[in-house]
Amino acid sequence: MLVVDNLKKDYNGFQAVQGISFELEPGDVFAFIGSNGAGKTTTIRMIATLLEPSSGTASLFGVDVTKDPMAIRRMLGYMPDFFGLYDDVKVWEYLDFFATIYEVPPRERRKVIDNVLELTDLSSKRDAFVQSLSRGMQQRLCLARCLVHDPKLLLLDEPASGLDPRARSELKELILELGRMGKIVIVSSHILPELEGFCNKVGIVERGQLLSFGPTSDLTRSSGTTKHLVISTLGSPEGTLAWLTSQPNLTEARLNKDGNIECSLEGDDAAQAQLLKSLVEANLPIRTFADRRIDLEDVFFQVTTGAVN
Amino acid sequence: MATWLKESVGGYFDNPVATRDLRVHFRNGRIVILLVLYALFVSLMAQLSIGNIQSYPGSIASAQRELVTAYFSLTGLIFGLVSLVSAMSAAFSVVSERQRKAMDLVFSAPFSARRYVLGKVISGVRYSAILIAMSLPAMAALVVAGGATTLDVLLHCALILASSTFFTAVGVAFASYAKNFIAPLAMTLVVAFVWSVTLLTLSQSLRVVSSISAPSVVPTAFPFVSCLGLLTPGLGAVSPTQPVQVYGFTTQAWIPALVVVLLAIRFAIVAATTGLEFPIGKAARTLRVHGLVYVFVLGLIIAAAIVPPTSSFGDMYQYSQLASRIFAPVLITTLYTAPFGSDRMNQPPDRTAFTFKKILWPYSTNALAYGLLLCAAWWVPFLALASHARNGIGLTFIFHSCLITGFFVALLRCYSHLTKTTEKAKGFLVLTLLFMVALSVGFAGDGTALRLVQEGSFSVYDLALIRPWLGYTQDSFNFLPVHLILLSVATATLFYAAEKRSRRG
Ligand SMILES: Nc1ncnc2c1ncn2[C@@H]1O[C@H](COP(=O)(O)OP(=O)(O)O)[C@@H](O)[C@H]1O
Ligand SMILES: [Mg+2]
Repeated sequence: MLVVDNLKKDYNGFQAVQGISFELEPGDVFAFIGSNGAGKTTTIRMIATLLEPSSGTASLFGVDVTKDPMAIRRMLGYMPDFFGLYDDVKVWEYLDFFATIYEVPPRERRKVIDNVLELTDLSSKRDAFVQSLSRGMQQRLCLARCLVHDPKLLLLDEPASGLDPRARSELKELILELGRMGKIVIVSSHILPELEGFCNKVGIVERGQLLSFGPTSDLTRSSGTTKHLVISTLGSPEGTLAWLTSQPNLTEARLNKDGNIECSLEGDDAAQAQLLKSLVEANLPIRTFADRRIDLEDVFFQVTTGAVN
Repeated sequence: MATWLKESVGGYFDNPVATRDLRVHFRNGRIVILLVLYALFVSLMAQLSIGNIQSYPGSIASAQRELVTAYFSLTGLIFGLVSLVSAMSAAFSVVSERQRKAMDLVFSAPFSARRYVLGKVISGVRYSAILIAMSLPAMAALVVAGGATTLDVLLHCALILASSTFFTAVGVAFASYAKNFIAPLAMTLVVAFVWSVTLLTLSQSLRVVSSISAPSVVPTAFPFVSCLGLLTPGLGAVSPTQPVQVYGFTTQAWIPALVVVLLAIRFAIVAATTGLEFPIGKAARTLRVHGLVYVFVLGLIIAAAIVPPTSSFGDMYQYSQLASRIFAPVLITTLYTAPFGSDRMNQPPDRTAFTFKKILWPYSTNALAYGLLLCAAWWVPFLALASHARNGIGLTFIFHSCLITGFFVALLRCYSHLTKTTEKAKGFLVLTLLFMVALSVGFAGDGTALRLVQEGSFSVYDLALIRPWLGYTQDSFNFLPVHLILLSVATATLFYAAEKRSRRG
């Protein structure tokens, strides 16, 4: 279990992270969303024991990051926002380097390297130089490196940036699989569609503050007091639209590009049922009446103000 | 015990950082060409000097002396090149790994900063060893010509390797704090300069000697110190096999020199580790403890090695000269291990007041207290062991030295408020120190300042007073009370200004 409590980072008087708190359970895949400069990398680096928090704590299964960093590091796989390359290193040397660092005994190193290469489908690239690999291969190699010691927490900082759609969907599969294996996975991104559909928790960060945090389903469902609805009609929607606009508890009734009506209703489920009843009683030609599915992008734009650091 | 052994010995063997560097550094052919060019250059220099001497017009004895000089110049050249190459290559690889974020991968893994630093030092020293091996033919040529003995060459090689290891560790230490390559480069050169100047002035009483023409025992009041000249080969031209007296024992000069440089290497490695450790607050405290222990041990060794002078002022002058020259490394240790940043950087926001319990923590509010603790560690062995220091002059001198430390700490506190970053502030302080050294050498080195004072064209300040390097003369001693008062006032004012500023901001 990862507990982040009021984490702050101050760079020479500039508050890059201003008190972020959240909790994650094993198996959680957490999408950490924010624009560039929002403070995602800073937060992740503090959890990864690379940056000392100015105040606040983070602890993984009860171990505090600043009190026992070595114990945290044994449970941690971290992938930086851009691939930490070494010049002139071959693929197997790169893995050998990390196998030694992760305390794999000399006799077993060869076997571990071969396994990892096979797992990541890079066996044919064993003697290639790391910088000659494609971006997707490099990303796989870097992720493979994070996995050699079977970590409990994975910190992936913008893992999908610069990948082609196929590599991206492979990565998605891999991350989902890691979540199913019971690891805590934190994936940061500023590209929203990339995260859609595989995270079960979402946090939106802006200017160093976590504006909203919770299960994805909670955030993307219409929130308690406001219902987002899509109504389609038989024939012209004008009459229905005019009727809706006159309703007191309805806001923003408008036509979308498909010619359907979108509106927001202030009220609970009962109010929604009442609206449908009124529509039918008013003899309007209603064909469908549905909750509008909102995606992460909608949530993001709702929650954030677009302010930047 | 087993884990401790594994951690301390395992750092040297099976070090992934050193292994990786070995694979990478010698992969491309450019390095071979550079090494060959280096060997050719050194051989050429040796050949030129031997050629000059062969057509030397003077007596056989003076030709012999010329050969010895040529040998020392050559070792000096090799020492300079080797240290420069290994220190720079190690510092550069640390900085570039930080810039590429390759370091993040290493330090998010359970890999200690110490092993990383050791790995980098090992790969720097590997260059040194190769370069030294490639200089052997040139050195051998001078042995054949008669400028040195084979044993001289071997011991010099060992000392060059040890000294260059020290500079490599210093380079890594600065690189581990730096974000770009310029700062560690500049700072390493500054340290090399200060180190050489200090050791050179320590061993200046020695003439160029080799074991071929060595006197039986080094003719100096402070024999232990003179052998440190071996650590700047070519400059402090001492023969490694020269007999020296240390605590009444006669030993060869290279042994104490090697011990000192090994201690220095260890300190540099601890300093380098601190820059990379997480969390840095705890590591900085370790560094400060090391600083205290080192200064204390240094004080103990030197105080014990000093031959007690008779009680006249002239002897006290000589004594203060020595003690104050060695005071330079103490000052550097203080400046390096004490924190000086404005409180915002080094201090938890809820703590601004000084408490004794936290004296070893790297908070800027206890910079002065820590500086004085270092002074105590340095001077207590002197007071305990050197009975001749326990008189009016000795105590005044000790007070003066502590005051100077306080002055520099206060100055640094002010600089760090002005520049906002500790690195810049330390840079400015180094410049100030260099300026004062230059002044003292320029004005007071040969008594010029005294003459100026006597002629009335130079007022109250004999610059002998603000440089702790050359000791007092009778005349500067007369000004001492005035000077001490002025220095106290200046220190107090600077400190007051810094503290007021930090309380406000
Ligand atoms: N080392 C640093 N020194 C000063 N400011 C920094 C440093 N690193 C990041 N910042 C600032 O902190 C803010 C957050 O950065 P970051 O965490 O990298 O954002 P993100 O990863 O969300 O794009 C940015 O405004 C950035 O300029
Ligand atoms: Mg980022």
